[in-house]
Amino acid sequence: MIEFLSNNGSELLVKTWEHFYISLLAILLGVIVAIPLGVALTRARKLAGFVIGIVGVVQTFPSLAILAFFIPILGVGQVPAVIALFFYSVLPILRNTYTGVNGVNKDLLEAGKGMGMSNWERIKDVEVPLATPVIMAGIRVSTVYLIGWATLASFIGAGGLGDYIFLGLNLYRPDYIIAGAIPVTIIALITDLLLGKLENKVVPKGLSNTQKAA
Amino acid sequence: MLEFNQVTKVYDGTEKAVNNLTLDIEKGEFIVFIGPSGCGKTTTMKMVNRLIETTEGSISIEGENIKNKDLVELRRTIGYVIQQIGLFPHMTIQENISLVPKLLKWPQDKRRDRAKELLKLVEMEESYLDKFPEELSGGQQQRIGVLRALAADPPLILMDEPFGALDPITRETLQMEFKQLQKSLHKTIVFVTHDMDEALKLADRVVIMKEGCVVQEGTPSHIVRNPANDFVREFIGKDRLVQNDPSNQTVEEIMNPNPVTVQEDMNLREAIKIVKANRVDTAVVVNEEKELKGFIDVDTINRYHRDNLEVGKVLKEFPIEVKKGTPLAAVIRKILVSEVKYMPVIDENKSLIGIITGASLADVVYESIWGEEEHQNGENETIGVK
Ligand SMILES: Nc1ncnc2c1ncn2[C@@H]1O[C@H](COP(=O)(O)OP(=O)(O)O)[C@@H](O)[C@H]1O
Ligand SMILES: [Mg+2]
Repeated sequence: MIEFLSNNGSELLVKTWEHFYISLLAILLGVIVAIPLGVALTRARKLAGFVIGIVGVVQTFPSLAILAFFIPILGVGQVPAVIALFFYSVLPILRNTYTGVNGVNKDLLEAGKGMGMSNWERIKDVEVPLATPVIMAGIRVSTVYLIGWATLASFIGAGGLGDYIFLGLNLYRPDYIIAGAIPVTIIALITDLLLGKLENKVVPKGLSNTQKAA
Repeated sequence: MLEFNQVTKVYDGTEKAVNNLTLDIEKGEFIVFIGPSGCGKTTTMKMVNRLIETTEGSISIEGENIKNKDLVELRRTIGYVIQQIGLFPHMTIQENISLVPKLLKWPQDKRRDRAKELLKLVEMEESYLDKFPEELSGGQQQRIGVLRALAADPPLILMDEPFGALDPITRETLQMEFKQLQKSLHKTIVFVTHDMDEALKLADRVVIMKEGCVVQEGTPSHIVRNPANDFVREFIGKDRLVQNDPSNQTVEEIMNPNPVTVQEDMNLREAIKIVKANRVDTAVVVNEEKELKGFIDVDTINRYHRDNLEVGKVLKEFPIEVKKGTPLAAVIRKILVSEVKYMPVIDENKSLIGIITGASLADVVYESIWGEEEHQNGENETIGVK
């Protein structure tokens, strides 16, 4: 192992970084799409079941199939990998945003509406802030999954720690497999920890107390 | 200030949640809608800030139909307090109070100053400004709920059972506080409750509803004295009906509404017939419009019966007349001190509507009023009159 590190140390760092930012980019895209979509769906309940259903079905496609599916359209490399991973990040965030916003106390919305908050002001100042604990939970779940799945990105030439794992599988070299798998786990743990810290920041103060109490 | 003009609300189907409501609310008036659950109180209220749209009829504020106003602007000029309090848990007390000022884009310092000023009104310390709602008791939270409605100084405030979720003691405290507050702020308040005590305590005018219709409206004292029907009577509850409480009675309640009368232009002989037929010793004299002129009694008859004059020529005037609606307590001492036997009750047009006799007074007097008045005034010398 030490021998492996001394030979491949700097390359390992590069691959770890690749892995990390492919995942992060996919999550970021997921957040940007899924939160607004989730909020929008709360205004169109009839559509909501349908859309969430479709996204759920997409999620069940084998990851390799999705990755392969994008090769003829987007070619190989990091772009199709990020896009494919993005599809997986959407569902947990979308579902949690929808559930979180839907779960906001109706009396509060009524109070806000009655006092003259516009639709946008209610979303921005009441619904989303109050739904952040649930939305953040969705983001955390999504992120941990994605960091795992990003291993498969190497399959379409996007690099990342998957390179070691696939190499190890092909060459029957367990040390390569371990060298790939351990950093993946470590990234996942550290990212989750950081997201936990972020959650404490973005969840409004009056709420975090209730949750601790509950 | 606020007018309901034949307002009807149908949710779905044909049942009318509010049925042809017409009501005129004065500026500065404290109106309380009361009625059993489901009678349409909340619907009525929410139609004012258009959380619910009317099906028929119109509502106007200061003469302007609310349909012609911008929805969001309309609501920002109407305070709104709900039973569930509805403070935003993720906002500090200051942010909650200043919500509407913020929507109206007041600068930060002005918002904070206003929040401080409002907290003083309910005698809460400034340190609450930076706390979160969950750190406050239910009563404190609803105080903030009320302050939030006052923040941008709206002329009209809607309150839907605002004290309904509080424990009885806190509720009572807040009711008293709020009544005081309202007196000093001169807001027009539309208040919904199903608690009769609360309605009677707070209202300038009570509107009793049943199944979407107004059953009766009037001042609290009018309603407890003159319930329109059994529904109202039952709703008010026996304890609160005040027929038997002399300190609240008015002269109408003990007067004889059908006194023996004679016309001013009759001759005395005719009048004597009427007096004899009714076996009374006094008759009230009125003119054709029922306007009070005076009275004739045994003494008049003895003196003039031979001359057969017109009644109008020989009548005597009553030393005391009282207007209808006068509290009994106010006239009792008068009648006893002046030793008059009869006191006519007249309306605004000076028309006779009844008469108070010594007999009808006696019961009431010996019961309680005399004693109570004595305690309050500390005047004892008039007792000698008895
Ligand atoms: N959103 C709604 N949809 C259909 N019916 C409603 C709705 N809100 C109230 N109602 C009906 O309208 C009637 C009056 O309700 P409401 O105004 O809430 O009464 P209150 O506030 O006096 O208890 C009730 O019969 C109630 O069931
Ligand atoms: Mg109601």
